[in-house]
Amino acid sequence: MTIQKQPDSIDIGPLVVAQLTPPGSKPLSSPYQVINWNDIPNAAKDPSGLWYGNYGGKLAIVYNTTLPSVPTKATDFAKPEYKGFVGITGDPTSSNQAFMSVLAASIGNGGEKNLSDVTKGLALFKSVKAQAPLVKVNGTNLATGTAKLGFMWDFNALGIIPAAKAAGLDLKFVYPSDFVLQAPPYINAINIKSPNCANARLWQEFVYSQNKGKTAKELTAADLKLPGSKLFALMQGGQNYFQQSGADPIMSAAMTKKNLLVPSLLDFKVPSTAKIVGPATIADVLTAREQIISSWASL
Amino acid sequence: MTSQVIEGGAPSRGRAFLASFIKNILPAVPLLLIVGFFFLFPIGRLIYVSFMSNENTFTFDNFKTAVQEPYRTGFINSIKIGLFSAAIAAFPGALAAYFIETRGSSKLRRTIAVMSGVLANTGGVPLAFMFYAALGIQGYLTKFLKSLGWDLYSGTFSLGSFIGLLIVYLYFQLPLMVIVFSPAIVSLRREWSEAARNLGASQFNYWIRIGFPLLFPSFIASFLLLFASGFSAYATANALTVGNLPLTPLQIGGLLDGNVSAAQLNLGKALGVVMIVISACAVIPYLAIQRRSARWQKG
Repeated sequence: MTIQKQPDSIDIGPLVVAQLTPPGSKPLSSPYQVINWNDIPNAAKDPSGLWYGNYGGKLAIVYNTTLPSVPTKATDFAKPEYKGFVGITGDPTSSNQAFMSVLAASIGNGGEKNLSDVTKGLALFKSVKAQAPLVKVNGTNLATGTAKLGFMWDFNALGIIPAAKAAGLDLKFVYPSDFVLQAPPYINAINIKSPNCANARLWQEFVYSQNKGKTAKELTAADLKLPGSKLFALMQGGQNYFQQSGADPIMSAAMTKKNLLVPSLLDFKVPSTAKIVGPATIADVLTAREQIISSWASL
Repeated sequence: MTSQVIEGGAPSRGRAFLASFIKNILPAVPLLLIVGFFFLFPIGRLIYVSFMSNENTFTFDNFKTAVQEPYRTGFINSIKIGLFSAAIAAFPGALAAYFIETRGSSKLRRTIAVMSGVLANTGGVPLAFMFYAALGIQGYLTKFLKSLGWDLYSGTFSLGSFIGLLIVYLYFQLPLMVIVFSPAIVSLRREWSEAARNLGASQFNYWIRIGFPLLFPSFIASFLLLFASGFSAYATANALTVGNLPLTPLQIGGLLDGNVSAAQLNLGKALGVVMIVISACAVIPYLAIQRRSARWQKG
């Protein structure tokens, strides 16, 4: 067996689409359309199958319950009582989650009409930073109490909350009470230099399969001896794994119609007062990116 | 060398060459190969690619972008943190090395050598985590100082700020200075100071005319090594900051594996080339000093 120098498939932030299909030169991915191709919304896929969204998420507010008050919306981040504990998951010029956090801050700070303009979000983080430097909101820092407030993918709740609980801290996830950002989905594509493209296609079929079926834990040793196609029909589909873990599978609309969607394990819901904004289009986020790249470093 | 060959009985030019080759070049071949493959080739390749556009045509654009914002601030900050951390660590580190080597018992010297070795190599995420635990907003030292009435976090202090990062870097810079400067102290022979005293020199005279000039090149060399380690440190800064404190190594990291920025791999490489140039510029004054002092250091 040779060592694979390249991945077969990629799963990456939506902003990289422009890089996958550079105008005027050859794309970096090879086209493929999964069996359930029509269930992927048109806005979330390349018509020829060079890339396709697989799951999206909404930005939730994660906070430590020891904060003096309960934050409910993005503009709360600038409250002086939270000084020193507010932050972002990473550098928005390189992390997709951090990028979308700036966008979520923007719609919560009066920029909900225009998703391609994140100046309001940058302004909000700037006013937070004027009080104290932004902390890094990641699992470690949340679990040590170094970071106590920030935006995070809603689907990270299932991993982050138990980890913090094990460390003796109580974290909560809530959606903002005013505007909730539905972010553009992460995308999948098959690497054009894929060492094993058949493998890549099979993987995509799994990611975009819709069965309710047995989860990986529930499969028995006897199940695993079944021929591939029978086993495949028995397993829970890839889209339902996303659904279960709290993300928004890209085929959720079609799957709801077919009654194939399993329940989500998240225990928090979008409040009735809130309006879901988005999903932002790729063009929107590409424009927003220029604003973030030019001003984040010197915020 | 040549005199030895002639003694061997006037061999032909070819044999002389072969003899000198076997004697002088052959033992160095493994080293030359390693230097070639792991140093010269990658640097050559890096420089070549940094002049390539995404369409693989020759361009200066990467370098034009590399000297503009936000990358310019990245360079300034990186140079600043390299210089400051080296300058602050160099004097106390050199003094410590002197007292340990001249006054310490052999047990103390061995202990310090091992400890410095460990501490100088403590970096990355573990180092960041140690500082969060001690000096973070919830850190034990922070709480202790607060109980004494000094609230570190009353202003805009944070481990992710320039000052914060500087403190963290000193943790590995100081022991590194002790390690690299100790050999210079050891090479100061006691006979020299005794000889100077016999000839009537005061302690002060001895240091001004003999001690410091002898130690100076090693001091500068150690300083430059510290500068390089502070200038290029990546993982610790990455764990502590969210992109508001632009540092070149972090910017390169963001360009190479980011989920947001697009098609700017070669810009990252251009930044790498500029880093090499800056490091090279730092070595030139050292070479000049070294050559000057080598004249009378011989024998």
